[in-house]
Amino acid sequence: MIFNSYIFLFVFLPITFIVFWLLKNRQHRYIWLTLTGYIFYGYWNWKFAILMLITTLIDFLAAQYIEKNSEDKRKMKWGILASVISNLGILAYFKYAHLLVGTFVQTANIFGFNIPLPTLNIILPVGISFYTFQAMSYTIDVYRRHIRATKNFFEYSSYIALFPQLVAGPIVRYSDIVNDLDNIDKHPKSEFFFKGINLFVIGLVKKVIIADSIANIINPMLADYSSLTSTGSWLAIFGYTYQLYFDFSGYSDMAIGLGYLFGFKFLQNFNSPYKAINISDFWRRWHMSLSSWLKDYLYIPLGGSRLTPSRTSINMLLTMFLGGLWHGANWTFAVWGLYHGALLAIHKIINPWWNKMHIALQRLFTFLLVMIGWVFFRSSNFTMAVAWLKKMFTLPNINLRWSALTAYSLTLFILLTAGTLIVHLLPNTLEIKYAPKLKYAFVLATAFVICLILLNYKQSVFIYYQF
Amino acid sequence: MLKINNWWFNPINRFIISFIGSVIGLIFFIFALSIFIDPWGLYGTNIFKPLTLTPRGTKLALIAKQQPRPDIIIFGSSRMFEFNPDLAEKYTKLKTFNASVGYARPEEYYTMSRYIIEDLSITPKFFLIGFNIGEFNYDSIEPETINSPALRKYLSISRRQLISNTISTFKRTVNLQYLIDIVRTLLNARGQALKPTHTFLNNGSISIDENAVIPPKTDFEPHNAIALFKNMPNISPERKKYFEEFLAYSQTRHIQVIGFITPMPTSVLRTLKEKTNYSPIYDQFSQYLDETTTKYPFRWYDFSSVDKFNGHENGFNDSTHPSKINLDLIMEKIFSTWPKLPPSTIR
Repeated sequence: MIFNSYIFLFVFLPITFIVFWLLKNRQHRYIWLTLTGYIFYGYWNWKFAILMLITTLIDFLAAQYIEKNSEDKRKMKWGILASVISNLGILAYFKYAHLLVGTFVQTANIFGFNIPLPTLNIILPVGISFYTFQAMSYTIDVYRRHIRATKNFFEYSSYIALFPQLVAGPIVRYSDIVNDLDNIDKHPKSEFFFKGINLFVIGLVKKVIIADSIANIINPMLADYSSLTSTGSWLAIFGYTYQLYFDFSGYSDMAIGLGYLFGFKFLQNFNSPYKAINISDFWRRWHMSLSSWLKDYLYIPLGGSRLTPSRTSINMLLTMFLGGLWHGANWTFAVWGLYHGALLAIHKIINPWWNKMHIALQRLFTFLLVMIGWVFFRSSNFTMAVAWLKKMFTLPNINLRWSALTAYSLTLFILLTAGTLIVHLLPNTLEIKYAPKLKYAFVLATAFVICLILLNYKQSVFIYYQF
Repeated sequence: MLKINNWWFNPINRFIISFIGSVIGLIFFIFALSIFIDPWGLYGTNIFKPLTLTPRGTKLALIAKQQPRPDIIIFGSSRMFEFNPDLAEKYTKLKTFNASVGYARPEEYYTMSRYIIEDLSITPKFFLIGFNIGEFNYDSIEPETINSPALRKYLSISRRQLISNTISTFKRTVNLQYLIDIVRTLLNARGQALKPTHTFLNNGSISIDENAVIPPKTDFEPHNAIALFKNMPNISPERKKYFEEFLAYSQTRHIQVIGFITPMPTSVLRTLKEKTNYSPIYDQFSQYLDETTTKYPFRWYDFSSVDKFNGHENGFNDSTHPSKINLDLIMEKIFSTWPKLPPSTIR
């Protein structure tokens, strides 16, 4: 089930919301959130809901075991290993088996060993990258004694299966919402509903009106990337840069908005990332729940920046390499991650000189560097990525005339202009000061109804849904 | 009362209620506009001239203009779109019109025949129907038929069914293009010519490019064919009821009814027999048609596969639609010995 669908908007959400607030008991609300989370997830494939239940049980019991044996470091290690291995194991199998087997076979073929590629009919469970990371953050935090393990299975399962963030994030840490969970039986707050509605509708607008409109134009362009002109290749990457942001941040806004409707305050996931003044700043603003997860559970345990400069660079490269691979089982994602790792490592060195630039130039170069990285993120293979980059950097062929800029679509040019204004100049969704004025309620309602109408044409899946 | 007042005085609460109220109000407003202006002729409101007519509306409008009045009227689904009335006229010397419409089923034959006879005062001598075996299934009556005032009056449907159909038509069709067409309809309110959704010739058959070179094809994806037999344990009693009402009505008007089962490619039939309950349904359907021949002036032919009429395997546009090639052969089979008709397919 996806947020931008009629079944969600008119059936699932109203029923879930009304029943939740009619229930007064805390445990009942935990159970209801668990049940609805599994219905939401199982709507796609009920078999994988069972998989999620199994991992939830393992992690719940592992956390209990760790806490129960808090004086015995060895037993604690067993507990955390059980959780990490089970989560990474299912992630490795469902997400990376095909990639690993395929790479092994191709490498063997290069060395003259003719091994036939086996057919692996493994379906990638939706959202597996998100809920496994979420679950690991819980058990690791229990292990580190940052939080207490909950003894209430339904409290834990409702945290994992919480439908607003279940399939495409943000990666919510238990510590971020433990107070909300403890106070789940409190009365509803109008302020939460108000914020929730605003965030949800704005997120829907970002996804349906902006992101999908851009996608409808650039997807056919990129399906035939070899025919792109140099100007077209830049228009396509600009388009994808904004499509990805509006799609993902739109989803995050909707998820945060839905969280508010149920009394949960999720943390911000995007903080105007294209306004970043350097690559390090970019990663403090883009997909913040993932970058903070990688920092806390991978980069810092590896040593972070406490060791030698070369070791710090390696840590960055490794963290970003794995972060890239998290996004998808394709080496293009890994290269994208390495690219950002390299940028971070280089930035650490050139920071003093970078800071001397005018702030506008810092923002411009950061934006361009990030945009170039998206070529690998979007390309289905290296052939496409290299061809695309070649066209982009055949600079003499770039044509900035109006006819060239609007050759593919005038609508694309308008959307890119609007996108530029929004992401570079306007406040982001969580910075806006929402005023409870009646005329604004009507404007928001109109925007919502327009989205409903546009949804009737095509219900498209969020980009990060595939992770 | 004081508690409600306090609650309402909170601007956030007023905002939330206003938002929800505005959403509901806007949806109803668009719903009302859709029915009132009806740019695609879906609801048959006819307050404004629609930009296009539905296929049923198009066919009924065409038949009203036929001169001389047709003596043979052809019914059936889109599988009969390429059935050439001019060829029937060549054999029979009787004016013929192709009144086939997409997703036609017995209720269409019944309602359209009554409209043609009672509203247009056209009484043909023959009805010729191209059946498909899956049409007596349990699918709902086509929304286009329910929404058409011309046809709806001959259907026995409840008010609840009508309302539910209107809402589902709205939900299915409203999109950006639809809203644009609402505005266009308003702007074109003065004397814009009607433009049909399908291009039908004056004789009712679909316009095809005779000079188009279509490479012969025999491997067809059977998904559409399979879908018809999903959830079809047997032939629907309601559809049988409409069909017999149609036959009885034809009998009272002294109209002879000729029917035939339209063919499908051999490869598709093989798949249907393997993956669906096509075979038992085929037996039931054939037996049922045999029974009706004893009660009504009705004869039928089994042309369900190409070997039954010396047809061609490449005479299909897809897994379910015979092309002109096979339909012309069927026409010849039925009418080449006119006024004598070949004997019915009796088991």
